Amino acid sequence: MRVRMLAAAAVAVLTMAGTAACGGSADDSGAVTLKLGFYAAAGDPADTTMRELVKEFTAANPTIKVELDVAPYVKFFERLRTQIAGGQAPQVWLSDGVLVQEFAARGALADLTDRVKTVNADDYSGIELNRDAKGRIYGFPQGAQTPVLFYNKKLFADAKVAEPTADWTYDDLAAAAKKLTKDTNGDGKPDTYGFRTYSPGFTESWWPIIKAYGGDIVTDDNRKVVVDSPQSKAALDWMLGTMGKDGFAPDFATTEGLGKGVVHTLFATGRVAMSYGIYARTLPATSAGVDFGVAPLPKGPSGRGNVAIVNSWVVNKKASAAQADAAWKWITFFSGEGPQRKWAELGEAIPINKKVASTALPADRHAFLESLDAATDLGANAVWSEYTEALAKRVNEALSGATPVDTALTSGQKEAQEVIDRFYAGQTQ
Amino acid sequence: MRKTVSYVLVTAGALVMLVPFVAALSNSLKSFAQYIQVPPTWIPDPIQWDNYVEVWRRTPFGLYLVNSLVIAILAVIGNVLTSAMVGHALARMRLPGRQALLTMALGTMMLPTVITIVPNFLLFRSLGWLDTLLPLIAPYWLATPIGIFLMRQTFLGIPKDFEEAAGLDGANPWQVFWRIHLPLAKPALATLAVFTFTTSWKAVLEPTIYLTSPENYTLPVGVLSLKGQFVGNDQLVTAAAMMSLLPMLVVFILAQRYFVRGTMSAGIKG
Repeated sequence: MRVRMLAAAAVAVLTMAGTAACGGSADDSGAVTLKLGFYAAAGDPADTTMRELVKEFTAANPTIKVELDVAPYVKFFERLRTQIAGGQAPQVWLSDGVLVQEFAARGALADLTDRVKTVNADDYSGIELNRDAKGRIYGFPQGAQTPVLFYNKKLFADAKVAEPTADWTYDDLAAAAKKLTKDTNGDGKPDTYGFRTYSPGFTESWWPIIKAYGGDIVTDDNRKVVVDSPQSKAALDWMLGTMGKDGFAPDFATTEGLGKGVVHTLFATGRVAMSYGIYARTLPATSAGVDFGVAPLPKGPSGRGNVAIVNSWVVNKKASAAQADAAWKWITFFSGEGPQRKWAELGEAIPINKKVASTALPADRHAFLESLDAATDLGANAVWSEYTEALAKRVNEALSGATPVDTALTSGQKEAQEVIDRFYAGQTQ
Repeated sequence: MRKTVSYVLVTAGALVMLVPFVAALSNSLKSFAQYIQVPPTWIPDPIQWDNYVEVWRRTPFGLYLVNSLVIAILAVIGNVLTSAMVGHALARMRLPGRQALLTMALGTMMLPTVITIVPNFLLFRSLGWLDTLLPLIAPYWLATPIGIFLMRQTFLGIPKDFEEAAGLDGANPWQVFWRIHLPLAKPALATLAVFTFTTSWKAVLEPTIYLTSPENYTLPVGVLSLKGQFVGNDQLVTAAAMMSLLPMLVVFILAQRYFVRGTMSAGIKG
């Protein structure tokens, strides 16, 4: 008798759980529940602002109920990958721009191409950077990041060096960096370096430098690795020189040892006078009280090598029609002038609404906008994380001096290509 | 003389071990600018007590504490009870294939957690347990391999005379387990309790995957939720980590005697 009761209870619980897991379509009253995911630290201004915007959105759209799924960046994507595998991912979430194609290629995202046609593309930055090899768009821009040259105004003034201009070349940068490198305590080792060359985050290091020197990393819809070239070698040789014979940049071990998240404190603490940094790097520099300016990346033999990452809203392919509509409503709401202006106040990303970007960014930060306009994407494809990891491993070996540059480029190209080929072999998409 | 040298060496070792703790305590009392300062300073100036207040302001830290305690206490009860039962059966009962069962149980320890995370996620989803504390408690009520191994070794070390004497007095196997063997296994039980408590307390991956509502977060997830992408908030994360250490420290101090004895005797077979 007791066993039967337990079995009945178990069936009831499972039925209730199953029922709860389904749903998602609009009910008779037209109400729809939308699970919205984004990454932010608890209590951070980004977290607070996003919640305020969600409140505004639901107040304007009373038939849409929004449930939030929030976690800090790393944990958010760790959880998301399991949620996707388990069919429990949010209906709309904020994706790192370089991961959009990864999720799309695994069938997790709805194709937004037709929906994007309904907006005026000229009003927004970054839409084209999200287009895949077949012209499809799986993510709508939320905020953009692009590296520019950060410089410490006080260190420039102290060394009586003229501040960077838009006409600067890599030779100008090197000449200024040498003058800014100082050994103040006489221990034979600089206490202040002119430039931070290497970073574990290659967006602000070897990727734009290789492009400025006329090299490239991937071509042919980002499926062919072409980094093994004389131009790339020249770029990496220049970088090695800055950390070696020229001695105006901290060495590889120092910067690598700091790690991706901490390397930017080199600039924020005044240990380097110049550094490549994306828009978000203004936050730690401002928090640390550094008086800084930004300038366009210097010109190399083939231009500035501008790149950009466009973090984007994506819609779950498994969302019901009503949820997908509600998700698109949220995306267009967030891209609007009011929310974009509010988001811009955080100083975390370049607004993708061009009208807001041109007025919300102070005039002395417009180098970001010019850089964004000229930027190419960061080689995004379905295996971006894996192939860039394979490539970065070899490039880092070259920059640490462990492997000759040409050997590292050859093996890096081969190994990165293998990763890409392994995924796309037999793929029809 | 030899004793003095030993004490000096042990004290020096202990001081070295304390350095990261002291550094963390110091960092938890710094501003962001001081936190990233090079060379770092040991004594914050000014001391930023506000970091601790800010953690409480930004997060329902008390709620995280309660969640972690509920999970850890229920995990300890479940694991100690069921691992002792399984360990006892494998050590003292004549079961066909008991060696194979033990090998299989221990074999599961070789599987990295990431391999089982998706199947477990699907299982808990079908049970309707996602975003509840149950996925973090229930597995401990099915005995754990380390617990089974520890308790089996302990029960193997108890002389058979005890159960034979109890058998002559009419005790059944349950009574032998509950009244004779279990009290004799107290040090191992305490060790297992501390191991389980600390494992459950510091777990990050599973709570991150299964819990989505902040009101269900555990302490480590709550601590990490303060970590920003661009501005690290490292001083706040460190302050939160210091606070989350306290309960674990209390448990360890209370059970220290058993813990040391238990780990020393776990490998001895009588």
